[in-house]
Parts: sequence; structure tokens; C-alpha cells
Amino acid sequence: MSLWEAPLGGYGMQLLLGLRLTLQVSLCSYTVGLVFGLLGAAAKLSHRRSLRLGAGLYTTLVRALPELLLVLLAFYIGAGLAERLAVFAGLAPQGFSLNPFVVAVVALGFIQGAYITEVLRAAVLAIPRGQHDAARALNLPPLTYLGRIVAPQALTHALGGLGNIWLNATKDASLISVLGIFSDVLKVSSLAAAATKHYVIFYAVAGAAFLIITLISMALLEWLRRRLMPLHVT
Amino acid sequence: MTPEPQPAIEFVSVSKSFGNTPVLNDVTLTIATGERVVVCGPSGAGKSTLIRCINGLEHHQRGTIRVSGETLTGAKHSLRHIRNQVGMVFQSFNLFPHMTALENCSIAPRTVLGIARKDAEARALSLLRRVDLAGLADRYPAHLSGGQQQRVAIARALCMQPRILLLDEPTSALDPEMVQEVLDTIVGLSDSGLTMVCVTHEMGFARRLATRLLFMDEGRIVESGTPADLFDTPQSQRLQRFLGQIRATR
Amino acid sequence: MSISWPFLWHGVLPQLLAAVPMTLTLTLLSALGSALFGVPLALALGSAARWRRWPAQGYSLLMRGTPMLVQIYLIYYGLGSLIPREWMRHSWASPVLRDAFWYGLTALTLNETAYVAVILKVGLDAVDRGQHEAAQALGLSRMITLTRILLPQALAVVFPMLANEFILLLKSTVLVSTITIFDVLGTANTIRFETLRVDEPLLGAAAVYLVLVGLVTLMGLPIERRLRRYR
Repeated sequence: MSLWEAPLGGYGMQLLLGLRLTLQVSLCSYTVGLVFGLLGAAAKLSHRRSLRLGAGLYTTLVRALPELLLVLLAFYIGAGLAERLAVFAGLAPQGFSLNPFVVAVVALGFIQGAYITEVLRAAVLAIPRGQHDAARALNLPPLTYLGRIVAPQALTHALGGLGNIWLNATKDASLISVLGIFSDVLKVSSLAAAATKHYVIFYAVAGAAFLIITLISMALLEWLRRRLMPLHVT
Repeated sequence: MTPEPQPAIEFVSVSKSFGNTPVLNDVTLTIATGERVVVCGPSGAGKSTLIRCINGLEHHQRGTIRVSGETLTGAKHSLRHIRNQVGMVFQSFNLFPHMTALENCSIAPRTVLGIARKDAEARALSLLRRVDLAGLADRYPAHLSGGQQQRVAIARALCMQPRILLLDEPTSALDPEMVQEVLDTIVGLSDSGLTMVCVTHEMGFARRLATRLLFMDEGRIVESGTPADLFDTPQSQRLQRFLGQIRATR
Repeated sequence: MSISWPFLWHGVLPQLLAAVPMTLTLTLLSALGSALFGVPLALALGSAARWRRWPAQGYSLLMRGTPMLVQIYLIYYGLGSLIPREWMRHSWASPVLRDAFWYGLTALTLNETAYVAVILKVGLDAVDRGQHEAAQALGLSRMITLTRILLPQALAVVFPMLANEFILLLKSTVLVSTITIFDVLGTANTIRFETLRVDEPLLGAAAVYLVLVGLVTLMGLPIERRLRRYR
């Protein structure tokens, strides 16, 4: 079958499915990252020294290690540990095995969480001290203060950094192709390229797929930035 | 009959606008070699633009500018040739912060004129001595006062041995106690035969330095003459008003 | 998780440490290359001329908008497949064309150039306009102005960003282990395949990278201090 008889030599459908998987991994890992990031930032900003140090250890270690290595660690060591822990704690039956998708998403989310922690922390610190004083003077309940005063302002400061981390997340999702068990868009491209010897075309297609994700993301981020502008933050 | 010596600077019907705002309005001017011209006038009169056109930092849109007979086109090599003869001292000094006073002065002679390092440094030292800063040659600008920095800037311009020296409000960014030392330094260059064009608000200094005073307003040269002429017998209403404002603030 | 410390100490770490020069070589050479090419790219990004700016922005988008892995595969497999067999086997360039190292280095350099250019542009834009004017007034050539006046000041401004970028580059070098280059991770993976042990090679690699990153970070601090002298 020649290259042009079916979309991309019959690989068209597989590539689209691979793209879908890549997007799913990106979105889920980013969400997990936000959770880790919020927890981490809260810990780093807390009064308790132990929390600050713990979070500091988290961000320092994760940011010092290559992402690919962290993914491998998660799959070959981390997953096993988590499984045995779950069985030990009675949360899962013997022989329990984590879904690889979950492992990938948590691993990537764990990595992104470290960077999101730093971004959120910087964003909160960028809020002028006077805001806190004004809130106390007005006797605002802490939750209101956090939800209506801190969060919106921090969000505006953090948007750029969070956007960048999202762009990285979509690219880091390609790392799962190395594990061999996922049919993400890069893995499918690699297989197709090796089978047909049309290396340039298939890798270019993979690149184009990621580029499109990037461009759409950038457009959405710009739209988001414009919508938040009227929030007027110092 | 001996031919007239070439004027140092000539402006013929020069006009320039920034976007839609006219800044120089049909300016015609001749400055002879050795003249010391001071340009004064209210803000926005076009004084800085005038002198920045002389060494090509601004590009005029209409008219002709000639420096030592050479016409200013946009051409790179003509600009370079002109800039070798014209030195400039800026309001904000613009010293290179990562270089010592000595290095600031010697970099142009070394890289533009190809002078050997030792000779360039010797020249730099002698000029720093002339502006009374020989002992500070190895200091970085961050460790010099404003007045000292500006004097280094003057030495730096002079190291290229220009025929013409442009000074764009040389003391406007200085704290008052340092203004005099810089003005004295500039006046001290009077005997060198250097053609000088200086934009300034310092009227006492203008009297000491200038062989001719130009009053500009709204992009035009309104009056021209010796300082005594303009200060003591201002012809135009605009100049009279300007002088009145200056005297009121002294 | 059962770590065999003797195995880690005698069987894993020596090999990993022997691979550190490879990791460092990749990092340093691509850092140098990207610094060299990053300057003209940074200038092009800021150029007023559209025919210079647009290709530069396109290149930047391409490099920063696609995963590094894709770029590596494209260069190694893609470029590799385009080169005629004859050149591969019998030409004077064979050692280079047949060695994965050069493909990996090329991919790293091409990618890093885009990031470095963006940072350099930030630095160059931060230099006071008056510096340009003083250099122009003195008649300094464009090359001299760039190398002796503008770049030193730009570098002083963005050094922390460049130091951070260097560490990111160090971490990205692990990706070339996927194309048979034996850097620290590549060696660790080889040990994994050969001995079927997982914990020691990966944890050993993690330790090595931690130390490398830590050392590089520490080395950057005195330089940052020295650059503050001028401000």
C-alpha cells in the first residue's frame, strides 16, 4: 500500500487516536499538577517550618532531576511502591496493579506540581502587604479574604507562569512514548516511520500535531489574559 | 582673493518631524570653524534635535546638512567619516558602566582609529588629566560622582580628536553643586580652537563660552547674535518672555 | 524495594560516573553552540526588517513549540534516512555521519539556540538606549558595539536566566539516551537491560544528576556576585 492510498498510509486513524491520548495525558497531568501545586504553595507559605522545608525539598528535588528520569522512576519504582502500600493499607486486593495511564498522569503531574508551586508562591507574594492589612482591619473572614482578595490577584500574576507550564506539559506528554506501552502520537509516529521508512514525514507529522496544540494553547492563553486584564492588579 | 574657509557646519532648509509633530522647521544655519555656539530656548524648541542631526543620531527629512563640507546622507561610510570628526557629550553621560574611565576613553581610538593600546591609553590619560581626573582613571562610573562622570564623558569625546564638539544639555542631569565644575571644564576648552555647539539652560555659562548665541523656538532659529546682544537687547517678544522666565527662576 | 548497596556502589556508580563526561560534553558543546548562534538569532528577532524577523520568529516557535524528543528523532532518523548510503559508509565524513553523538548534539544545539536567543533579546532590550547612542557618536563599528558594549551589559542583566537555562539544558541531555548515546541515563538503562535490576541504576542515576545540578548551581553563584560589581 503506497503512502497516499489511505490517510498517511493507513496510519491516519491511529495517529488521531494517539493525539487524543496525548491530549488526555496533558490535561489530566496538568490538573494533577495544579493540585500538587496548590498544596505545595500552601505548604511553602505556611507558618509551620516543617511544611515549608518539606515543600522546599519537593520542589528542589523534582526540579533538579530530568523529567524522563522521573517518569522512569515513577514507573519502575514508584508504581510498585504505591501498589504495595495500597495493599498493605488494605485499600486494594493482593496483586493490585495500577493503571499505567494513572501512573503516567500522576508522575507528570507530580513534576509539574513542583513548578506550579513556585509560580503560585511567587504570585501570592507579589500581592502587596497592604491588602492583608486592609482585610484584617475590615475583619474579613479568612475564607473570604482568600477567595475574593488573594485568589483573583494571584491568578493574574500567575497566569504567565501557569501558561508556560501548560505548554511544557503538552510537550512532556511525549515522554510516555519512551515507555513503549502507550500509543501516544509520538509512539505511533515512530512505529509508522520504522515500518514505512518514511521517517521525515511521520516525525514531521508528530511535530506538527504538537505545534498545533501549542498554537491553539497560545491563542487560548492570550484570550484568557485579555479577559483578566480588567481585574487591574498592581 | 583667498577662498572663504569651509564652514564647519551648514544647515540648508532643514526640516524634521517626529511622526506628525514638526520639530525642525526649515532651519538654515552656518557655523564657522572655531565658533562656539550656544543654543537656548524653551523645551520642545528642537534644540537637541538640531544638534543630534549633526552627527546623524537623528535623520532629517528635508534639506541638506553639511559637516566640514561633507553632506550627510544616510550612507554608513559617510556617517562614520563624519562621526570621526564630531564628538558628542550627552545629558545622561552614557559612559560604559562595565569599563573604567580609562577604558571608556581608549576604546574608540583603539577600535576605530586602530591606535595601539599603549598609545591610546597615554592619550586617554593626558585628556583625563586635562579634565582634572587623572587619579581616577581606573575607577568604574558607578564609583564616580555625576560631575566626574560627565568630565570623563568629555575626555572620551576628545580622545577621538574631533574638530567639532556637540554638547547636549551637559549639566541638566547634575546635582547643583557639580554643575560648576563641568561648566568650568567646558569653558577651559575654549582655547583649543574646537568648534563647539552646546545646548544649555545655563545662561551665565553661555556668556562665558559662546561666541554666538542662538535662540530657538518651535523648530526655528528666532534670534542669533552674541550673548551680550541677545541678553541685553532681545529683539523678539518670544526671547524677551523666555529671558523673563529664566531670570524669575534664578 | 530492595536496594543492593554493594551492587550500587561497585556495579552501578562507577559506570555512571564514567558516563558523566559524556553528559557534560553534550551540555557544554550545545551551550557554546547555542550561545554562538543565539546572538544572531536574538538580533534577528528584534530586527525591524520583516524578512529577518519572521523567519527568526518562525524558527523560535518551531523549536519551542514542539517536544525535544520529536526534534531528536527527526534529526537522527529523519536526517539519517536522507543521507545517501555511500556517504554514510565510505566518505571522509563517515565517522561523524555514523555516530549518534553528532545528531544528538545538533538537535540539542538547534533547540537550545531558540531559548538562548529569547533570553539574549531580553538582555539586549534592557540595555539603555544611551549606550547605543554613545557608541554611535564615537563611531564604534556595529561589531565592536555589539561585542564590547552591548553584550557584556546584556549578559550581566540576564545571567540568572542563562544559568537556569544551562541547568535545563543539562537535564534535556538525557533525551539523547533514546538514540543510543551513552550518557548517564543511557548507561543506567543499559545496566537495567543487562542485569534486570531497576532500583539501583535509576536511583544511582538520580543521585548523579542531583550532584551535577547542585554543583553547577553552586558554580553560578560567584559569577553572579562578580557581575554585580558594575551595577
